[in-house]
Amino acid sequence: MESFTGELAFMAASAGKAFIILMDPVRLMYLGAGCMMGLVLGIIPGIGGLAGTAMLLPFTFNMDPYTAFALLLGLGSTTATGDPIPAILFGVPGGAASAATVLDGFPMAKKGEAGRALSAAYMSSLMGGVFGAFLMFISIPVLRPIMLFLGSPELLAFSVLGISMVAVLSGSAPLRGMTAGCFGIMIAMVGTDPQSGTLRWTFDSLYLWDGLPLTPLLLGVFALPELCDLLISRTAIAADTSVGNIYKGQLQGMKDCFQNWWLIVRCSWIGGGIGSIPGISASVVDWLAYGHALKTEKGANLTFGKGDVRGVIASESANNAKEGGALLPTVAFGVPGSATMAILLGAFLIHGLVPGPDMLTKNLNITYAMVWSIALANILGAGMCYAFSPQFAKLSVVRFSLILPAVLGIIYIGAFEATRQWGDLYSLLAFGLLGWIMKQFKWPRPPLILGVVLGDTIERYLFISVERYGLSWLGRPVVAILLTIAIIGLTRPFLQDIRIHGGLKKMLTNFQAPRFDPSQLFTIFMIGIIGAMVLMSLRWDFSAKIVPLVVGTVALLAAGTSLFNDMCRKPETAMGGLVDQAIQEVEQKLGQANKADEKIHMDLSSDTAHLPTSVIIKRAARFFGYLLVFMAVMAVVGLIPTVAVFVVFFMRYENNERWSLVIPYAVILLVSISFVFDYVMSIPWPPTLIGQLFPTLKFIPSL
Amino acid sequence: VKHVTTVIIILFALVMLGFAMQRGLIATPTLEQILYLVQMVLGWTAWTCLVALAYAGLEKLFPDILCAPHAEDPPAPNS
Repeated sequence: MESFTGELAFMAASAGKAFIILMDPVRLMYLGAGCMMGLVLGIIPGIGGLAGTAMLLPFTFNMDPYTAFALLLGLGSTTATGDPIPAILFGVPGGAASAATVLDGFPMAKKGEAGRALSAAYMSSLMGGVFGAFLMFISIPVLRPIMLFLGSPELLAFSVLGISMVAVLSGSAPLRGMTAGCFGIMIAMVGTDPQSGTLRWTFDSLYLWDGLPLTPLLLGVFALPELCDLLISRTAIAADTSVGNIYKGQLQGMKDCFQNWWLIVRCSWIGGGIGSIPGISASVVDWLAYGHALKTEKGANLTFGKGDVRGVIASESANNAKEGGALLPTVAFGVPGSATMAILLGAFLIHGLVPGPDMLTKNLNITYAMVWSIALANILGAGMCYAFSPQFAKLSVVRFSLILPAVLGIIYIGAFEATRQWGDLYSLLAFGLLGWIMKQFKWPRPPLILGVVLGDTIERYLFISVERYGLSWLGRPVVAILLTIAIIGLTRPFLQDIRIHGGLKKMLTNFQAPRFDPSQLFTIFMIGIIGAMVLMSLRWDFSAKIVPLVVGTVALLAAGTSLFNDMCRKPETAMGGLVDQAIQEVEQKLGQANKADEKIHMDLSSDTAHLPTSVIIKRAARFFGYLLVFMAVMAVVGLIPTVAVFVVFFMRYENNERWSLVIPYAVILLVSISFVFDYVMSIPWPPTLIGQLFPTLKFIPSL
Repeated sequence: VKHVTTVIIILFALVMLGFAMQRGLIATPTLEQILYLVQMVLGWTAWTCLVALAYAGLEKLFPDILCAPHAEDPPAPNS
């Protein structure tokens, strides 16, 4: 009893200390900046919180962990707070998490109740977000004693469980997800093998000796594809921007939230609980909460979908509560609860933090600081939304020609920060192309990152476990349970498929003559790449090749089966995922046509399907051409002068912007980049040709 | 209401700046720093104008390539 009281006192002291640390004005400023960026990125079309977190990551290198996580969680927690603005005002969700908000928010705006709907969305987001943080707060004392008994084998099992989540993270494409996850693990193994010193897949390049840095990979896979799609679709939200008086009815919206506090508590539970289950967060949470409100609220059948404020409250409280829930498995077990959390796991590694027992013992202050960051970010975010709704609403309709040049410059700077070599930029480009192709062909990208982030950990813990325990570690109860769950997680989609087809026999006979589709080319390309990597690994030492061989074989099997399925499986409209069921249920209740004719895709999908393929290919080629030319010009005159060239060319050529906008925009951008990155952050720039030929010109920033 | 929020934004920015200066996070700018800032603004303005002039010249030379109107896309299903 005494030790329990002591434990609680220790945790309370840690929570208090974390709060005081976070109250430092500088950290609060970073938290505020993160919130502002989260709101802006949540609202601006084309760039979401995922790309935003990836973009921000390299600029946290020099910060202490408290400040870095305040910034990152400030951004991550408030993206969902900004989401409802375009959803309610224009009927276009800012992100996957506010898709259900449209159902009632947009009709409310049409009835002239935009202010009430927005206010209800902000307040319920605030309450839900704080509830999610509280959920994490109370879970720590429960998890802490358990975590203290975990050794390397258990941590290995947790990492394997994390990887098995690819099946869940992959939504409708578990085989592709597994291939991507295994490919991610193989990417993580590029470089010098720590056990034997063997150089794995380094291709005689000094840059690859230390492995591929995470930052260009993240930026390439998550940020560049969004920008590419922005150029392809060439559009912001085509909507009526006369949104009326947004402030009218705000008080009523707040009252609605307090009147429906019990609904908020229930939906926040759903959000926090579902969010803590790895892989099934963003896309499903709002639908489940909306469905729950539809089933349980009085008279909901008659009013939901026609502008009932309870519909907005239900989905918004749940989608903000999920952040706290998703952080829990990330911190405690190193198993990310969502794609954003997979990036955040990268931040842990960058700052030398190991998720797991350490985060609940010697780094408990940092964990509690994260909880406070989420709670404060939600309060700040909602406050900012209340104050600046009309300004934020305008961001929804910002043109692509203004967004793209600024963001691209920052991405280049961020990528170069990884190891400050040109190799970072080549990696950015290569992974950008890979990420865009994956997005186009609906290959889930989060498993790739999960594989990269957890690959090293798995190999390290595997060797420690084998060295220390031989094979007896497999019999440890926690390990056995976790590995069983992992196997169930991996096989669940196949079992589901069998159930949907009415048995294994029917499923195996449901084939047809092979048919070809261009998307299969990418699967063949992946098989080729992974096959070549496996072949190369055959020459290495046993300890260096064992994990790559196993992982590579699994990847080849998964990719091969996926290709066979694509070619020979008869087309189907069956559904089985949790999200599909939730959407279907809501639509049936609302009496709408069943639109969910295919399984949900647990990644951002391209919004370019309405364009002809030739246009998509042409514009994508132009985008990657821009990137190449940008790099070439950068090698000659330096990054900042190149931004001016790019802004002028891009804005004039792509959208024929008027000169009176182009020139001030370019100047403001150049001055801001120079001031922040050259003067304040003193970033070292890549060497340039002009700088080497004429050293006297080196006073020009970035030359 | 619009003006009130604009004033709030400006006031907030000024308060933050004042606070940062008071805490010593941002030192009161010296003459040298102000000159650096002015040079930076003028320098980048000159460079941008140079690039703009060059591009405008290219537009005159190759109007068919650089000034060709882009074809209208079919509307996106969500708009």
